Amino acid sequence: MEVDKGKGEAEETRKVAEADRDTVTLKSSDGKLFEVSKEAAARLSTVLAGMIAGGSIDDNGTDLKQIGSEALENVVDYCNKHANSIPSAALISSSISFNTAPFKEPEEWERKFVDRLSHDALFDLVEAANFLGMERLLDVTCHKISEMMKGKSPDQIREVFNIKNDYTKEELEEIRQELAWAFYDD
Amino acid sequence: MSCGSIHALCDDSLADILIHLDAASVVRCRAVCRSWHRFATATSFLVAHAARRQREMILGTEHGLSRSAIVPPSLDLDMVAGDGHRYLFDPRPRAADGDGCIELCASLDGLLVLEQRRHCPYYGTCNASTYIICNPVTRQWTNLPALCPATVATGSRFFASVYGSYFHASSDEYRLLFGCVISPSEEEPYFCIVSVGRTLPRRLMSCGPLLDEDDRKCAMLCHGTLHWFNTGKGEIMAFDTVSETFRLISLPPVLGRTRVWRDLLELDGELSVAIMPNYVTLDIWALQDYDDEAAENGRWTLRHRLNVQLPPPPLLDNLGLPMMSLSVGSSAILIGFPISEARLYSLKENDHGVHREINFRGCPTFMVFSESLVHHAFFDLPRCPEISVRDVVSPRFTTASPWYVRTVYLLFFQFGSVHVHHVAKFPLRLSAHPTNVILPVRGRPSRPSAPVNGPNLADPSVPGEIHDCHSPWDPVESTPPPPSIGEYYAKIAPPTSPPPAPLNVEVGLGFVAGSRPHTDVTAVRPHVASQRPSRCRLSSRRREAVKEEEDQLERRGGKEEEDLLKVASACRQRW
Repeated sequence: MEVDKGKGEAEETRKVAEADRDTVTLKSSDGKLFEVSKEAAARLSTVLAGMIAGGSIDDNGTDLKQIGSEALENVVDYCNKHANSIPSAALISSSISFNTAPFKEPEEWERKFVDRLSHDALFDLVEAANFLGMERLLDVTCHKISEMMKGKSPDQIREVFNIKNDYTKEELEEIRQELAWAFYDD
Repeated sequence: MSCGSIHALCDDSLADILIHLDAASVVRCRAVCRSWHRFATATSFLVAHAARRQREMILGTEHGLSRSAIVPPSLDLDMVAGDGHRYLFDPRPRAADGDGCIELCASLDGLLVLEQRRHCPYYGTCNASTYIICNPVTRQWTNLPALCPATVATGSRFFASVYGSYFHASSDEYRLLFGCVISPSEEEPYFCIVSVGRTLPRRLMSCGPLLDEDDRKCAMLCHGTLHWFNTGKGEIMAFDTVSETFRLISLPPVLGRTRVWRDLLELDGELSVAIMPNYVTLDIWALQDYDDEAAENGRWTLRHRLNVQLPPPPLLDNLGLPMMSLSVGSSAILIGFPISEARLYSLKENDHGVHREINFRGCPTFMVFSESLVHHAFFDLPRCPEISVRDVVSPRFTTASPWYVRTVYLLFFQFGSVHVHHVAKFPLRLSAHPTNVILPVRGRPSRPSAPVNGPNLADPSVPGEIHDCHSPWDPVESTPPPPSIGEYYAKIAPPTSPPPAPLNVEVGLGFVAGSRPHTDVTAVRPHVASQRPSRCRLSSRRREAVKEEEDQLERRGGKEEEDLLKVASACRQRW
């Protein structure tokens, strides 16, 4: 159903795209098609920018075999939202930029965008962003995941991410003692 | 391939996530599982992690050195309010293993250089100073070898002072540049370089002029070169850390030798000078064609002119107080004066003059710190044996350096098993520190010496020495250059022969004369002042006045010292 709808939309927009070529069509690993503005794709993703510049964009849907449809949907959603947020971004940059850190804090809409995602969707999105060379999206998603780890004990982190403890008791004790400052501070 | 679990992430992605975490969280992640331990200890990851840490301002607070984000991540000003303070050292006191006085000399790549001065009868460093380099995040520390050459004759004093610190890429070493003076001695002052982890200082063949304390404290690293103002000469002294040679760079034409508020900074990769000729404007000049050796005079270009509109300073402060500045990204500049809040100004074309006051809830040192977990081999080496951190003297107060406001702090710090009570000096505002740990030295005892270049506000009875109090920033063209450092050291050495010429000196202090208030030293150690022979050539009238003032000073100074000691013991009890 959703596939059909996506395809339908894609079909329609492809005609427009062929006319003035302002969108690209992306195809997920499970065959769903997504439209995204060419300008946004080229600006946000180094990989897509390279493909567009190199002419390797397939009008029938550029195959992205590494990316599942859910993740790709989020990627496209992010691109569209980013394109829409330009006015506000311009507004912000006209005031004093207070940011000194190499990482720019997520903007409000970016925060909302990642907050609604499940853990699994986040991890998929990280992989997709990594694959597509979307630096900002990668930063925002990784920042979100890192916030789930911040200030937590190793036990809590294992619980949140369902990680198996493969240390022996002695090894763990050794690490804790060696780096006691990180465990007993804060 | 929606595996949807953290296990499915490739190594790169995991590193991308961990890189957002603060140092302590990264270390905790090492205890999660073996594969995470592998990522979180890899050098490439640690270097990338350090590079992405936020820059923080080092602050002097009532409980010791602290760090705080230079600017909050959001524009919410309430967040500036110091809640983000994280102490660099443990503010809790421990049983004193010894006492000395510690001063923060440099901050570089997450490493701090601390100077520990031992009891020294004169103000300044002497052969008892030792240097510690530490990573306050990982609690690792080591010390530097003794700088004093074995050849120094008994009776001579050896003085070394930090001029700058830098990373020497081709040798992969952290290095410190020291200016050294042996006095009295035939030997010329010289510079030496200490590589952290090496056992011996290396003496440089090339030599530049020694700088006075205010100048050398403001070293600025840019283009792999250290830069300082040489106020006396009206030039910028530059030390190329690769070729290890000194050179001189002329100042922007407007500056010359006039004493105005100015500071060096790096802006968009350019060597820049921020100049504030009056209360109203702040000019930022940048040096173009930096590497063009042929451009002898340097091509200075006025990059920005900001409308700062500073309120006139309180009367007690005068022209000698330097401005401190720091570029914040390429679009803003943070300015600090000893008498005002730190202010952040936008450098954007359209909103010049837009600024925000930033209250750091502490005294900003304008030294930048950023967390680093990068492993340094020198921390694993045995520490220099000849220096014992325990081998320090009984508690002793130093007062603020002249350009810091008259403030005394008690600081405590802790490295692993070494705990040192110490007193250190940090700049700035009394109002930010409501507790009695801070002791302003009330007023400024009038000084015995005559030639004060700036307004002698403490002693309005001295006519002819007061410039217009409301505009002490006006260029004082008549300001004679301060005596050279050699003269300075000659003065504080035991008297052998009279000074060669009438000097612009201050009796009993042996400090480079200038318009700065040096009174703290006398206030706290009046006995030192009075024991020292007056070596100024003064008129007889002046000499009488001096004597009278010295007497006054002694009476007043004694009380001051008592007060200081009281506060000290009170602080210790409290903690």
